[in-house]
Amino acid sequence: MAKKQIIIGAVVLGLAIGGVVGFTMTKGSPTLAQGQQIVVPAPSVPGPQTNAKIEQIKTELDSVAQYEMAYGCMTFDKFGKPTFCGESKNRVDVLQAQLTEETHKLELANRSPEALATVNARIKELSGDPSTNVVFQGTSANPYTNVVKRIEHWTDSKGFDYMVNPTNNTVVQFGPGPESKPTFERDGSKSLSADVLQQKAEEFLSKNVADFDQVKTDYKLRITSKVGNVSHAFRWEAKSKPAGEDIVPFVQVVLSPAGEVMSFNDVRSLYSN
Amino acid sequence: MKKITLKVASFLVAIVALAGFASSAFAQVYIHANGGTYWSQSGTGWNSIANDGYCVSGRGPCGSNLWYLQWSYCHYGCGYDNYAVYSMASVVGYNGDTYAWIDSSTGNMYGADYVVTYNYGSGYSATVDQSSYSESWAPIAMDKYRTSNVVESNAWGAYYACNGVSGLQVEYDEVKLEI
Repeated sequence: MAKKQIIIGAVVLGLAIGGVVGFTMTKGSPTLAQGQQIVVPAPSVPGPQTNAKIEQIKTELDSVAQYEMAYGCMTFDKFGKPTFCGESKNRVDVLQAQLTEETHKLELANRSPEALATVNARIKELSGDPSTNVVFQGTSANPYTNVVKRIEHWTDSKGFDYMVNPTNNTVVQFGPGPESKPTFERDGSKSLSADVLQQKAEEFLSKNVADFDQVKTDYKLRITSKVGNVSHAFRWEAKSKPAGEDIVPFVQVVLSPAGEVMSFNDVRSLYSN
Repeated sequence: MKKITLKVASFLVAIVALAGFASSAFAQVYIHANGGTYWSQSGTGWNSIANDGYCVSGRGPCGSNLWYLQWSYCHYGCGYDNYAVYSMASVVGYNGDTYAWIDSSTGNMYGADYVVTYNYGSGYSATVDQSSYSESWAPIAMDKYRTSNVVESNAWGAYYACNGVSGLQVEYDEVKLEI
């Protein structure tokens, strides 16, 4: 027992020193991974928030995880990677859950009840289920633009993921999340005609994108289908790419062969300041 | 022993105080390219499409040597024929989100298998419906602390484990970590 405590203490001490150095560097100069073939934009925009309690949990999580890696229950996954098992897994999972809970509290601290109600209602509307359970899944930098804008992730009862722009409470993307098992029509041979599908796509976007008529005027339409006609994408793209960006702003809906909405995007608000 | 523990505890308090106030770091973004420095692949059954995927001519700040994507037919039943490892360029001490770029032509696999390693040795099994996304970033995992790598295979993901369906195309393209 005494030996175990000494080891934990040493690990905690080492991590605490490393943690502070790392934290300071991160704040002053974002960590850049240099590699010939990897791209690492370093946007100078606000990143993840933290506070004393979160840092405390992270320090404990680091020490416990490293201790369990060295002395706890480890197994190998199907690719041969060492993975926690048994009580070791439980200990780490509890701390990860605490970290996530505290982080979520901080991330939502400045959101007004009205804004959260708007987001909740919007997700329920898009899910088509007024009783669906809308759950906050945290924030991160958005994956579409290189400047500004963090996004929130929310999920519904079916495991669909909703990416929300908190500056205007709009859904910029939704689609099946990593814990969903959607039941879309998968048989491409049963696909509706191209005209009918486009009509359904435009109906959905007219209902859910306030200025869709303007989008149709200003953007160009591109229609693509996946191999086997298992899905069809109707994408309206801007005619030019904003300076410093990699992806052209777009509005899109992906439909199943039967015309079900599989995913949706309106990422335009992520580009504006 | 008590003394050692107390000293460590005191030091921790000081550390926490230093980092103690609500504050934010800079956002961090890492794109891990198929074929890039932080990518490796194993197994058989690989196919590629030139100038397709996230990194193409005119999109993505990637060298022309990365202007392609790879795909493989899914494995029928249990097991896999191939897998790719995206090792995170930087293991960051924050909760992070990972995404896979899904193209508009291939990637019709609705139960793609991804395993995310985080917290040094925690594993998260994600099942991504690639068929639902088109030239967009599909979420793989949310809020994972110290994400260190993502492994994608042509197996059926956890939600369809050992599914007896073949002929679907699993896309392997860029994976992004957003903090």
